[in-house]
Amino acid sequence: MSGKDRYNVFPSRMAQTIMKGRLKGAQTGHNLLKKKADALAIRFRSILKKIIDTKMLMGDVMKTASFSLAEAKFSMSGDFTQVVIQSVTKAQIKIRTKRDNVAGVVLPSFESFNDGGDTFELTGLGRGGMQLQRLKRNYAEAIKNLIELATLQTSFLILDDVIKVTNRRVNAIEHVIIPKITRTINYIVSELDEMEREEFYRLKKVQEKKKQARALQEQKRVEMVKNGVLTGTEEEAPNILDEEHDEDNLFL
Amino acid sequence: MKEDLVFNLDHGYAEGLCRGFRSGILKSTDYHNLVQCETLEDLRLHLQSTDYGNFLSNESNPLTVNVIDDRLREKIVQEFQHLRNISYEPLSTFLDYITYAYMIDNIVLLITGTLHQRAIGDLLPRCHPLGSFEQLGAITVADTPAQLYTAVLVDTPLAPYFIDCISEHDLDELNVEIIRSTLYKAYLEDFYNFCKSLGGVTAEVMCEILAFEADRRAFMITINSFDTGLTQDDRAKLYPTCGHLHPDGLQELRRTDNYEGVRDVASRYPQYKVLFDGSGTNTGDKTIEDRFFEHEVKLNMNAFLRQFHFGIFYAYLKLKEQENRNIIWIAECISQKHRARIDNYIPIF
Repeated sequence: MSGKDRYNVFPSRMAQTIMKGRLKGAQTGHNLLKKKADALAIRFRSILKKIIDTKMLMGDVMKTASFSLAEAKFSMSGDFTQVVIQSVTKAQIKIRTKRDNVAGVVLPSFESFNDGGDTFELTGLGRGGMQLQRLKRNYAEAIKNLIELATLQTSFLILDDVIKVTNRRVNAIEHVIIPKITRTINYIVSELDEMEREEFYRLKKVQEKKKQARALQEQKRVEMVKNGVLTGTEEEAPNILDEEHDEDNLFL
Repeated sequence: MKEDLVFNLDHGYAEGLCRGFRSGILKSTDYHNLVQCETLEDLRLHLQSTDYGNFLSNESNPLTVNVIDDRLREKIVQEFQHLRNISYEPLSTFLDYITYAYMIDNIVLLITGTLHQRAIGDLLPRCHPLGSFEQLGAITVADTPAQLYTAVLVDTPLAPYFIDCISEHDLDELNVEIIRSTLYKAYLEDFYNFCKSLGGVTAEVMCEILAFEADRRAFMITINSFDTGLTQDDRAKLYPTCGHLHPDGLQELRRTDNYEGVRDVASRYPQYKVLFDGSGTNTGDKTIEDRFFEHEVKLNMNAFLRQFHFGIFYAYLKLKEQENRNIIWIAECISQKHRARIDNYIPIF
């Protein structure tokens, strides 16, 4: 296992418990992130569909609006566009931003509101007024569409980013963190096993040595008994608790 | 009768020139060809075979509708100014009167610009060339509309229209559209009186045309002001009085509040009843504006049927403008690929 690494821990039972806890944590995190990525993906797909629909609608709306501009120019002889451009003071339609929360991601949404009255009410009074009203309506519709599209597109970009990040994290946990922890746990377990085996072997060796030592001693004793140095009873150490009669020491 | 004898002394050349220009106005076959075009390049090609010739030949690709619009306007300005240059009194005064309408538009544009602190230098190129007057360059000195009036407008031929109806104070406050309508009303009445004073065939032809213009304006102002904040009295101040509707029709119009009311007023005058009958407010119907345009074209065409009068100059200018609008309409339909309503131009011949 030299190519893939693991955490550098001292293999002990404590380390093993800690690693097991981390593994659990990583797995829970992985599940949660996967759920988040799925929720975001669902929202993403729905936004994509809405964007496609709105863009198609946009094409038609803009076409109608430009055509109504041509109509207005036809019936209003004279260049009314210049007067309109010159008398613009401030925006009539303004946007407020609101925030939407999807699975923890903050998405802005734009909402339009009319600020101030229609300063061009009387334009085209002499001629072309009806076409001008239609023109205003068409372009107002186009602006509404544009605002909707703006909301959808910002959400789309933000979601795209977040989904990429979340997926990256999910994959990281799945393919890097969890295997690393698992390898560490396996390493610890294997080390512990080996230590146990060593202990066992050591124990066995010590026992064997003791047995040998005792066997040697026994042999020596048997020899000494044979040589008459020792009787056979010295094996037993005197027992104070026995009722053997001790001769009293009388100092007469 | 005597005028007919001596008319050609002073104005024969001009009339001849005007009639020559008039015969170059596009016919229905030309419009047929234009409607069949697929691109603006085809349009340019077809226009080359008409009186327009190579007026678009120096334009770089890609050709846009705005470029065509500018060139068309240049051409008509050139023709008109040539006519003006070769004319004698009283034709020159008459032609000047025609330009006052464009001057009104330019002045309204400049007033709007000063109201919103725009640089006057930006606005000057956007003025209509037929409506330029000498003081136009001096306009840069003024900052507010009131200043504009005292410094510049008092010396223009339009000054009397201002005096009649608008005080300096009003200039700053009133909506520019109301200023425009008030000026136009004064102009129309003045022009009507001038034509009447010329007498003869000119008076007959022009007064008919101007009366229709006055009535048309009254109708349109009424219809267009229904949903706005314009009160009935304010509206009544904008009705020109030189038309057939004066005075009872105008009183009636002042009191109406919806389209049906306007229709009722119109039904009392046979020539307008016909126009309103053929129109409607549903989509797909001809609107009353279209009918008004058609009637105007008819009156202008009829002007050419009589000789030795000034009406043909006015009629020629209006017809040429209508033709320009038609060409631009067709060009827009082609370039936006919206051919459903391409036949909505007003045919002239």
